[in-house]
Amino acid sequence: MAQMPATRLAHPRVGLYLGIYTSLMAAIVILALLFEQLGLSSRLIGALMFVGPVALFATFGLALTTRDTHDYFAAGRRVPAAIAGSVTAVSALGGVGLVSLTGALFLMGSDAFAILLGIPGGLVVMAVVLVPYLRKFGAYTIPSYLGGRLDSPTLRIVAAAILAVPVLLILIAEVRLGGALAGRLTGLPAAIMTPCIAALLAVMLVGGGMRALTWSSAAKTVGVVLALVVPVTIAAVELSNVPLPQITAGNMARSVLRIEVLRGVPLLQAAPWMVDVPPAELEALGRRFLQMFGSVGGSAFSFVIVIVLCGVAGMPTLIARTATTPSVLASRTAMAWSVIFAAFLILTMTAIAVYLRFLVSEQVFAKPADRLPGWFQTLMQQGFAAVDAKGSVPVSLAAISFSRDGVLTALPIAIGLPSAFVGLALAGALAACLAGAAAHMVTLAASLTDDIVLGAHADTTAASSHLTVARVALVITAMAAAALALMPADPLQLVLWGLTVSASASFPVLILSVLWKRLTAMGAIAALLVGFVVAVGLILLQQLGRFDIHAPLPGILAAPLAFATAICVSYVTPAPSRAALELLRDMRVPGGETLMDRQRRLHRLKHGGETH
Amino acid sequence: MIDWRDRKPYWRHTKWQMTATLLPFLVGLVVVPHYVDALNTKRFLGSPLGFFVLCHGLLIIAAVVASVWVNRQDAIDRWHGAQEDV
Repeated sequence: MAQMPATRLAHPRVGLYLGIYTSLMAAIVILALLFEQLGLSSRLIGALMFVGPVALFATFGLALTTRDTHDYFAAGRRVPAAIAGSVTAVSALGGVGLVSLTGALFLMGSDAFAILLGIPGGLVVMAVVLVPYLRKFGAYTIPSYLGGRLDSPTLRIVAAAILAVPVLLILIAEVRLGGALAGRLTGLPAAIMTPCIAALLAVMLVGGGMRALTWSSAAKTVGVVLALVVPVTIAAVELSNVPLPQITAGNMARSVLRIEVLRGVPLLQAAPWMVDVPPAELEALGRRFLQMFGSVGGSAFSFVIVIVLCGVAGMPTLIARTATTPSVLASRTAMAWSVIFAAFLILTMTAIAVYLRFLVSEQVFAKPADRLPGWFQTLMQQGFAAVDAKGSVPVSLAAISFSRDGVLTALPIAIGLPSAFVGLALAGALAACLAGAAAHMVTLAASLTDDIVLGAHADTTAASSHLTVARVALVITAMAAAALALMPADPLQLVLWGLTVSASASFPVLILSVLWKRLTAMGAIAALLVGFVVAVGLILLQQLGRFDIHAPLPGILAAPLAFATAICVSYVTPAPSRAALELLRDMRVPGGETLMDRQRRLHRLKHGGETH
Repeated sequence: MIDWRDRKPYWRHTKWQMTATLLPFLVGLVVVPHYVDALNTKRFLGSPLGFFVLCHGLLIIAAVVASVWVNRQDAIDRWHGAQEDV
């Protein structure tokens, strides 16, 4: 396997299939536009924009069932770097990142970059310090990597229990937002659509696991790009005559700044440690778009970047994705692609926020409350915007409120596009939710199978039994996600909690496991426990109103404590064995066979029987 | 396959590359936002300079850093004979 050229390992018809899929997506949008012109109701157009793309994603998922464990847990390690990278970027942002962070950018202005910059930053750190070495190790899950690297079944179980928390938090957020978006498309209540989304994911993934996830997520990535790029490019052509919104957003931001200065919008300064992330409900504007440290304090800003960065870098879901690439070099290239792709998506999200803010500044701000533009009145009727002024009173910026999660779909309405484009934006956001949720669901189910149920026997269990357990675990995970997603919670807050726990518990142990050969299993267990307990404790104290520290700031205390605990406990416990050090040395060199694949191959040769 | 004696120099070289890649990038990521308001008084390509640096600048730097690192690390692998057999 190692001697085969990497190009031959990739699926030969990937480009063709994705090309067909992109054409079908475009055909669905054109069909919706035609039906709209023929007088079809917007509810039926929304239903078409839900059923069409979801049917295409499901086709990818259902067509890729497998009976091979290597395919099920690592997509056969033959996913091309560009595809693996783009899917990693979409999984890192997820639907919550796409929808809620675009809204946060619109409402918070430049301060939202505290969260946004942490995402590509985390991908860079993950690429340089973690991915090549974990890819060489070749474990299917992060707990099995930690357990194998430090030769400790106890560490494997503790890591599985603790690392499940951030993954589960983000899974719940994605399913909850996915249910809300599907509800908007179909007109059905979110409480009905949320379990439907979880069930849909289970059906798509149960047959093919990581293989189905990877290729259906590649299709979803195309949907996400179309949904983000098309409406804002049309807006850019209408407003600036240049079809490159990512570049012209700067000029638009300057126009917004000029309007805000001329109309005397005050400069507001947040307290140094304040992190005021807008809630999902209607939130007033009122701060200057380009002013720094109006919502996130000056001291908190840098720490928010660092904690989000560490949370992304330590997220088990994202690291596990790179196990699907054919080689260590391909895993590095995939990470470079993921940074490039995430940067492109964030630039496009920024353009959407800036263009909408420009339209609000020019057409709503300081205009009489009884003569607001039609598009804004439509948004008010739909409950995504509000104005706290009446009659001919000029509307102040602070009197304008927007729903954070409605901003992404407000731009097509604001520039007067047909409702098919609103459906496209919603379908793209739903695709991102499905891609993010599916990645977290597969990671949780794989960990439940390999680390909790089968444990040390995972590599010696017959393939058929292994897959049966994995499929049952996936269904259980989907059911748990559906039940938990029905509880009221803000998706963005859940993601910030997840990143805080990941930065506090997962990141320190993973970094030390690669860079520090003196790390022991006891040190890793202690660090996981301390990081997790401190982070969760601070989040709970903040929720109970006992301690004023907003997520993701608890990571400032928890992550250094976890690092210190790992180092202290490792020094007072016996040094790692010679075998563990030899494994680390092997892991640090890219050449040679993937370590876990070699172990499985040797086991097969020794015992024969059913293959993995 | 890398020679057994070459492993230490390879890892030392790799660690230097990690530091050289991450340190300037991370320092920039943390420090630059504090100068955005001051830079916004100037213009670059029609955009307020601070906003351009915060949004476009740091994202482009992240993409360039990741791409250059792939290239440099591959060169280190080949220099020490640690590259894969593919």
